[in-house]
Amino acid sequence: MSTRVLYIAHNHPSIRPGGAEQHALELHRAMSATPGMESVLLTKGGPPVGPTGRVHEGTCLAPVNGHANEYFMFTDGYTFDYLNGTMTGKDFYSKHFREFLHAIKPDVVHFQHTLFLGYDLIREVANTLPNAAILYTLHEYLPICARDGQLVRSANNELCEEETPTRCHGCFPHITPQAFFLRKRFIQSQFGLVDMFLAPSRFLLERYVEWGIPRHKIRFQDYGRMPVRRGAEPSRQTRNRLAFFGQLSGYKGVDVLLEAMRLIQLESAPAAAGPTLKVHGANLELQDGEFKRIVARLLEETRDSVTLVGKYRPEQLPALMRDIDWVVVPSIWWENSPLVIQEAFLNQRPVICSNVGGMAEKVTPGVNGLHFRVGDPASLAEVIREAVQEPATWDRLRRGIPAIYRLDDQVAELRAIYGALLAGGLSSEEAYAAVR
Amino acid sequence: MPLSAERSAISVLGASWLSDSSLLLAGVDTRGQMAAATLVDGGWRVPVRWRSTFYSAPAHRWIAVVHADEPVRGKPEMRLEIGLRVERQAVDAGRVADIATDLRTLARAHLTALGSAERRAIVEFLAASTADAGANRTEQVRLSRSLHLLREMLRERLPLCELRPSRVEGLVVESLMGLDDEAFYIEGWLCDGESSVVRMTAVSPEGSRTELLDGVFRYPRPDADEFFKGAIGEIAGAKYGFITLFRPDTPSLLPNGWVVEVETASGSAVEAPAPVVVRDYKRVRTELLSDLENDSDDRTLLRGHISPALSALQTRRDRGLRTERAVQFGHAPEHPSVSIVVPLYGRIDLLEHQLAQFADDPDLHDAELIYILDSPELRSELLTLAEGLHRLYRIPFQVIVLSENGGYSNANNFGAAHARGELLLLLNSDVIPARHGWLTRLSAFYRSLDRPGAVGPKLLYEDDSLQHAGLYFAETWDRGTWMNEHYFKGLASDLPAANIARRVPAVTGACLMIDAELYRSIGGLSGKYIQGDYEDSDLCLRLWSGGFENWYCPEVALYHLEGQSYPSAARVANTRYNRWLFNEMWSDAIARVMRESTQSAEQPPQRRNGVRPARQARQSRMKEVSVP
Repeated sequence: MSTRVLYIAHNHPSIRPGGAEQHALELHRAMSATPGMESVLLTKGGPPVGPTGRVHEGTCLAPVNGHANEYFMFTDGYTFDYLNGTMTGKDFYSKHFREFLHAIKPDVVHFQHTLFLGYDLIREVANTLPNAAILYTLHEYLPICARDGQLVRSANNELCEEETPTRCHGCFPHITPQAFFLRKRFIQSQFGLVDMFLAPSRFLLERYVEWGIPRHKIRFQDYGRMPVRRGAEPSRQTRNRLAFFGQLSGYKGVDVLLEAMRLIQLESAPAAAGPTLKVHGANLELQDGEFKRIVARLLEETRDSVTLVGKYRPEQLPALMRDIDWVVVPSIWWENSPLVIQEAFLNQRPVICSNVGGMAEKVTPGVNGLHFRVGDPASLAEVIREAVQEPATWDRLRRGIPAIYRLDDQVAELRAIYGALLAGGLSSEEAYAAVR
Repeated sequence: MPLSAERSAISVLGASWLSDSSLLLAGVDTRGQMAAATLVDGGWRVPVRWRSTFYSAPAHRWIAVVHADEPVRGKPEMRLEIGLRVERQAVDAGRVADIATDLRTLARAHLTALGSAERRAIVEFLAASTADAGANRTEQVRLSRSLHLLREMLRERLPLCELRPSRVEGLVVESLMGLDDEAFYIEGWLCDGESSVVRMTAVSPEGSRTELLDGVFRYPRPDADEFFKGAIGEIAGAKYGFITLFRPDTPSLLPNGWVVEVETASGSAVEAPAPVVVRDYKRVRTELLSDLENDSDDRTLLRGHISPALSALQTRRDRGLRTERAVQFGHAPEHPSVSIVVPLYGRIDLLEHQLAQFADDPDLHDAELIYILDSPELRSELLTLAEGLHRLYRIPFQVIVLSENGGYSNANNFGAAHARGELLLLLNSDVIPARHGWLTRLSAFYRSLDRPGAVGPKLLYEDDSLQHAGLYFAETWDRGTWMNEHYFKGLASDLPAANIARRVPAVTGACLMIDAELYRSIGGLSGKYIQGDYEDSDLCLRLWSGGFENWYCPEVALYHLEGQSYPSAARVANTRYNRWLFNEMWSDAIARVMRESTQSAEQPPQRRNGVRPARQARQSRMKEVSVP
C-alpha cells in the first residue's frame, strides 16, 4: 500500500520561474520516483501572474501539459482577498477543491504555498479528509507580513523586527490596525489545523515561533537539492568575477550591488582590471518605475564592469557558475534559505551576502563566504575589494563550503515524517522526535 | 335628477365616488327625516359607515359621505337607499350607476356657489369623514386625493405671500415632515413687522385645519434679519424662525397640497404653500437632530417638539418592522444553553472572521448562533456568503433578515425573540474571542451569581490594551448630566484593578450575557434611542432598579475591534439626543448607583466644573496693573 502525497504550490515553473515553485516541482518528481510513494502536484493556474487559463466549462482543473499527476487549479472568475489570504467565493474550496480531494484521496497533503489560492484550503482538507496528515512548508513571511512577506517596512525599506497591528498599519496607512489583527487571527485559525510546519532556516523558524506557531509543531528542514556533476576546477590567477543570480527586484538588493560596483569603479584607476559583475536574472520589467530607472542608470554607469546577462534556466547554472568566482546575495530582506546560496555551494562558489536573517545563517563569514552590512553599498564595496585582492582568500573560503542537503535525503526524511504523522500521535512529541 | 319624486321630502340631488369604497351624496330633506344612507347590492345590505351634515343656506340641503370597507364601485346592481327616521322605512334613491357623476360636476352643481363659511364647513366636514374610512391604504389615498380636489374647488384662497424686503411681513414654509399620518413637524420663518400674527393655520391637502400659534417654537434667523434689515433695521432678539410639531384632527396622507395661512391683527391674511412632505425615516431623523442646534437653553424645542417627534418616528418605523427571512444553516442544537445574538449592520465581512474563530471551539457547537441583518439591502450578499462559510466552517447558525433597517435595539430584540437558549449573549460583530472555552467560562460565572442581571467580560483592543473592564457613569461639565465611561480604558490588560471580578454599575452591550427570560420580561433593549448609544446602560439600570446585579468578569477576555472613527456631525447630534434622553430617565438613579458602587476608590476623581478656585493674592495683584 503506497502512501499518496499531494503537494500544493502557488505557481508552476512552466508558467513563471521561481525558487519555491521549482523546489516544489523537484520534490514532487523525486517523491513520485520513490518506491512506496505516489505524488500529485497541484498548482494555481490563471490570474494573477499566470495568463487566463481555464478553457473547460464547469471545472477549475486541468492537467499540466503532458505531465502525469500535475494539475493546474484555475482561479479565473474568483476574487482573491490578498490581505486575509482567502478567495471570496467559498465554493472554490467547498466544491472544486473538495471534489479534487475526493478524486485524488491523498494520505498526506503537503502545502508548499497557499498564495492566491487561500489558507482555507487547509480547512477544506481537514473537513474532507479528516485522517490525512497536513504539512506546511514556510518559504517566506507572508502569513506574518502583508508586504510581500518580506518583513521590510515600507517607509524606508528598513528591516522589520516586530509585527504588531499598529506597526503594520504604519506600513499600510489605508488598512486599519483592526484589519491586521483580524488577518493574523484568521491565518492562525487555519494554521491551527496543520500537523507540522517545516522551516528551511532556523532564523525563519524562530520568527514563526515568536509569531505564534507552537514550537513543537515546527521543525527545521532545509531545501534538498540535486547534486551537481562537476568537472575539475581550472586554476586562475585572479578570482575577481562576481555574479548575481535571481529576480531583479528591490528586495533582492540588485541596486545595492550595482551601486557598490559603481563605487569600486570610481576608486579604481581607469583601465585597471577591477572586479567584474555578471547580472543573471529576470523580471526587471515587473518592478515599479522608480526602481527600473535607478537600475537602468546604474547599469549605464557601470557598463565597463557590469554585464546584464538576463534570464537563465536552472540547468544552465553549473555552466554559468563555472565562469564566475563569487556569488553575491545582497538581499535587503531577511531571506529564508536562499536557493541561490545552495546553488553557489553546490557549484563550489563562496558567497558574499548581507549580514542578516537566513543569509547570515547559511554563510559563515571567513569560513565559506563574507558578510557585508545589509543595504549598505559602501560596506559591500569594501568587502568585494577585500575578497578579490588575494586569490588565496577565494581558495580558503572555497574549502570551507559545506555539503549541501541532498534532495534524496530530504525525500527520505519526509517519508519518515509522513509515516510518523499517519501512524497516529498527530500532536505527540515522540512522533516528531522519532524522525530525527 | 332626483328620482323619488313621490317622496319629495327627501331626495338625492347628486352622488359621486370619492374612492372605490366611498361615496359623496348631496341632497334635500325638507322634513328632517333622514336617518341614514346605505347601499344595497342585489338585496343584500352592504355594511357602511355614514355621516351627514346640513348646511345653512339654502335650507334643508345636506351632504353625506358613505364609507364601505371593501371597494364597491362598479357593481351594476348597487342601489342607494336613504333610511328614514320616521316610519323606519327607506327611500330607494335608485341605482348608483345611474345617479353618480364625476366629482367636479357634483361640486359645481351643488357646492361651489355656496358662501365662504358654508364651503369652509363642508371642507372640514369632508376631512373629518375620513375617520370612517376603511383600512385599505390604496383606498385611503384615493379618498385623500378626492378630498384634495374638493378642497381646491371649495376653499377660500388667500393672497399668496409675497416676499419683499420693504414689506415687513412674510411667511416661508421651508420644510414639512410627516412623522406618521397623524403627526407633522413644520419649519420656516415668519416676519410680522407690520402687525402681529394672530392666527397661523396649517391646512392639510384633505382640508383639515390646525392652529399652530400656541406652542410654536421661535428662534433667531440671521438670514431673515439680513433680509429685512433695510426696512426695519436690526431688532435685537428678533426670532423669525419657527418650528412646531402638530397633530391635525384627521390623518393626512398626501405629499403635496399643504398650505399655511397667516392672519395679522390688522386683518390682512396671506397663505404660503408648504413643500412636499418628507417622510423618509433617515432624512427626517437627520433633520430633527440637526435642529438641536437651534434649541434654547431650557431645551424647549427638544422637550416639546423634537423628542415627541422622534418618538412618533421611531414608533412608526417599529410598527412596520418584521422578520423578512429566517434561514438556518446546519442543525441548531436541540437544547442550547446559550443563544448568541449578533446584529450585522453596514458590513458583513466580519462574519467570516467570527466563524473562523468559532469553528474550532467545541463550546460554539453547543450554542445557538443567530445573526440578524439590519441592512436588508445586503441580504443576497450575506445569504450567499453565509452558505459558503457554513460549508467551510461547519458550524450551525441562523441568519435573520429584517424588513428594513430597524436599529441596534430592534435587531437585538428580534434576535432574542428567535432565541431558544436559557442564557442570551448579545455580541457585536467586531468582537473576536481570545481563547477557546470562553463561552463555558462566562456562563459558569453567570450561574455562580445570586441575582445576576447583566454580565460582561474583559474586552481588549487589537493592541491588547483595555477596551472594557466594566462601565460606570461620569458627570459631565453640565451638572446632573451623566455619560457612559469604561473603567481603565486604554490601559494594559494585566492592570491588577482591572482583573477583579466585581459588581459594576453597567456593562457594555458589545458582549453582554443575560438570562433570556429576564431579558424578555424586562422588554429587551429600549427602542427610544437613536441608532445605538446608551441602550446597554439603559438596560443595566433597569436591571438595577429591579434588584438585579450587574457584574464584570475579567477571567474571560475577548477582543473588541472598535476602530477609531471621528464622529460626523450627524453622529454628534445622535449622541447629544441619546444622552439627553438617557439622563431624562436616569439622572437621579445614577447618582445613587454611583454612590453604591463598591469600587469608588477605582473611579477617577471628579473635578467639579473643571475649574480651580481663583486665588485671592493673584487677583489683587492684577488690579494694580494698569491695562494699556
